[in-house]
Amino acid sequence: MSRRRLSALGLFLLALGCASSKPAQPPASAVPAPPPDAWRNTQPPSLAAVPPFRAPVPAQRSLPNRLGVLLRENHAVPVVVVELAIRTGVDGDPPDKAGLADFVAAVLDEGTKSRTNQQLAEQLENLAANLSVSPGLDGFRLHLNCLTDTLEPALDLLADVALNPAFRPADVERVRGITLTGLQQRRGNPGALASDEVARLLYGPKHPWGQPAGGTVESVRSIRRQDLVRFHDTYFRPNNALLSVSGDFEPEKMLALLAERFGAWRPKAVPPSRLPPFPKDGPRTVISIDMSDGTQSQLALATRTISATHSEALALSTANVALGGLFTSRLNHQLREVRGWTYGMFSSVGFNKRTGVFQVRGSVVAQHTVDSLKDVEAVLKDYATGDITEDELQHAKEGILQSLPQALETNDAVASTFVTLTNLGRPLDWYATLPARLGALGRDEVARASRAYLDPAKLPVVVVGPKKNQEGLAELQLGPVIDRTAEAKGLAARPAPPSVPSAR
Amino acid sequence: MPPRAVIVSLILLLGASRAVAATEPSISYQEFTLPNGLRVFLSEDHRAPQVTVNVWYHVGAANQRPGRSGFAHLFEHMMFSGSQHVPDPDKVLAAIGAGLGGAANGSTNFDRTNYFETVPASQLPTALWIESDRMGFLLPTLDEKKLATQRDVVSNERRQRYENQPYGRAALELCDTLYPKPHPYYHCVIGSIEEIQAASLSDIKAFFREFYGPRNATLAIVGDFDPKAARELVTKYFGDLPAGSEPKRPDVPQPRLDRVVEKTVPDPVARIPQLQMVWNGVKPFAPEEAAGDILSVVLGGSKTSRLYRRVVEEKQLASGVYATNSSLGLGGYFQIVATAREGHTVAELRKEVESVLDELRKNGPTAAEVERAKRMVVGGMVRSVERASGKADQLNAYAFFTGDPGYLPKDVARYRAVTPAQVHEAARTLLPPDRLLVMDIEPAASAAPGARP
Repeated sequence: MSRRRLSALGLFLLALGCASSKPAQPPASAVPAPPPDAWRNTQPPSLAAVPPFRAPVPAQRSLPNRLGVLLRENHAVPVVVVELAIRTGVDGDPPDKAGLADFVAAVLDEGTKSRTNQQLAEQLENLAANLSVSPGLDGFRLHLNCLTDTLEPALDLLADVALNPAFRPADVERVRGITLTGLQQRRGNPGALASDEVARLLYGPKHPWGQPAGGTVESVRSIRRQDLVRFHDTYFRPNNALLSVSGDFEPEKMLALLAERFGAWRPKAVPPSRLPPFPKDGPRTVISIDMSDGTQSQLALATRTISATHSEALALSTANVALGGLFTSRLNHQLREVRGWTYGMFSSVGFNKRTGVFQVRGSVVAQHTVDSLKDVEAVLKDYATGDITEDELQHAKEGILQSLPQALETNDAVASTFVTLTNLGRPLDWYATLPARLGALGRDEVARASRAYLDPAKLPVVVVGPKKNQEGLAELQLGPVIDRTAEAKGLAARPAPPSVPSAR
Repeated sequence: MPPRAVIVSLILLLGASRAVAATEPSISYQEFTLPNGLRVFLSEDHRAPQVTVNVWYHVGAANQRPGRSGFAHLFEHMMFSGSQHVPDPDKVLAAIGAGLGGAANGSTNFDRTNYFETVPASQLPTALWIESDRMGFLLPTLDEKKLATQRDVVSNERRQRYENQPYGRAALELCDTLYPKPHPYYHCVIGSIEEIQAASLSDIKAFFREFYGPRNATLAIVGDFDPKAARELVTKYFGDLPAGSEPKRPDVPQPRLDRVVEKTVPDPVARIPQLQMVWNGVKPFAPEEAAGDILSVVLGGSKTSRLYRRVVEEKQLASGVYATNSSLGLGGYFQIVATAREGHTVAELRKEVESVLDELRKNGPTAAEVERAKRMVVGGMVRSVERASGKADQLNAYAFFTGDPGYLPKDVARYRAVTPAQVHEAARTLLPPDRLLVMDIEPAASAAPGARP
């Protein structure tokens, strides 16, 4: 299946209000009598407004062992989603064990002390339940989606995976082999290579978040079963966790079911995280990686911004939507609709527990690599003067508000969103109160955020594509061009692997 | 204000199957047809103050002429380039809040093209205005410049999604082998860059006249609306459009593989070899389709599937494996995809996959395997009605393929009725050992570790 545009960008949520689009003007004409379909020239009036969307806000409860529980009832479909969040993720990786959290996640649902991996998989499938384990920079998510009728046995399996993983040596080694294969695969993939370079630039080469996703060949080889067990024992604690539930259930009954399964989980002090500081902003650089057979170049420009709880966070998110969040935004309009050089050029503002990230990303036809970068730079420079128009601001606000009902339509999304809000330190009614806050947001504030955080002058650039199409890159004078092809593709000399590859 | 009602009706099928009481999904709707032939489905869903408008045109790659691969999809792009009374639909959509994420888009596949937008409930008239204007008035403002830009955009879509994705080139090779020229599926939906670039304005005009009238479309509206008001609006915006032709559904015979075709596909983006085995498949809702789908789950749809257990867990030759049964209007394909583990080869994978297939052809699946697969498939159908936009697309899809937009419960019943014997039969008839395509996808020399950059 082929779509006109990749369904873009992350969660973004809005309501209605006055859509301010101008009706199309009837064509000027000397002939007085309008054609019979002249009524079509004008955008039709709105129907009477219906009550605005109210974003769900969960009830907050907890179990006696301090495990927090968020509950939101929704009986639209016979489905229950339970997301167990662990509030340490890649940030728990020791310096020499890049990829440990990802490794833990990959083995976690490969069997428990009382169930082999095949028994576990068979029982989940028999219940038509889906269980996934995802590692993130600042936490894990064990996400269960089950049918109402099979809630109790499915909860048994979720709890067993979270509390009693076996980390059997055979499973650990099988997962290690698959992980190493995945790392190898990433080295040929332009998008993955760009992401790893961006992470290194944003967080620095010594920070756990600055490592290649999933770790390096050397680090993954060096991780032992005992590392997985220790990571789990350290961080998988009720005082470092949260249960977020959305779906077809009765709250008091749900609390009792959760208490039966998670109530005996023992709290234990979690060591404070000792992350290195983020790198200081250095001079702007352009990272170049050669993919000689590519027909496109992957472009990425990225920088750290502000945290999710910063007073300007909403202004920054809104500023980004006008710049590169909508199909009609400046970046995509220029690079796709005016130039035809890309299938899509978008920008995003995201947040994690400690900071925010602004990123521009897109793939462009190889022969226009340098031209495209020049256009992106010009669009960013203009926008960073703070020249957002009233129309742009209005479209951005409407886009954010109107995307809320769809972004929060499924139980999967709602349960995950509550976890995200908690991780970011935002209140649980963040989306319920968003329409009012967004309505109050003025053009001045958005313009100020654009000037402060979206200025390309210090934005590092990553280009992954054919070297032969990068002639003229230096002449753009964005900064020194650094070729990291050998490092990125694993062709550079690396330290010899440890003599004992792993615990067998 | 209309009553807040939960539209999904849930019928508890007590004791339907062993331990699991199953719930059966359905979509309630009302239907009418305009005098010009446009079929319309209305389904109220008052969970959020929004409406989804979804139009299906019964045209896809299947309707393309030889030498015009990628054309149906290129045409889809032109439907966003403005029509006589709506010069910039994207801008109108952005103004009413449908500019972000998946709120408004279109998609083209082998057999159909759809256009959809989710808008505030009060903006239903504007959504209908946009859809009716491009159904009735696309051509007057179409020009060479708009087309030239979209030819380039679509060319870049192909580069991004096929040429620069690991194994994307194999997907194109699959189409070219199973559907050789002059079959309209040749080069898949995306097409070749040369043929995309060769599309002319007169091609676009002729295609519009042939396929984009009300008689060749259906319209579904799902969301927070009053059906009486919606019906009046639909009549106003679409009622005066000329009916257009009702093109005959394409009827191209399905080319059949008559031997084992082996191909090596070099891939400069992939770093790990991959095996693909592909057989001629069936049409949507063909009698053997449901059993074929269950077969794909038993073979490669989960961690307990036969292929996963053999090549990922027991032999540890693969980093991943899956099987799919793709039904297409002109005949589909059944596909097994196994990606090697580092250090292993396609030859090793093929030997094990063939052994698993032999065993299944000989002895069939167990009753427990089939039951498990059925529960997973039906579970997915229960979840499929969670999104309003998903329901709108399903109404149009069932109408197109079965004539009955409310087919969902019958579809569930179709999967529930599958027996182990039927799956065994499907393994023998759908996956013959002597008529298939085997692709060995190999990292191209320049991509191999140690090669000079």
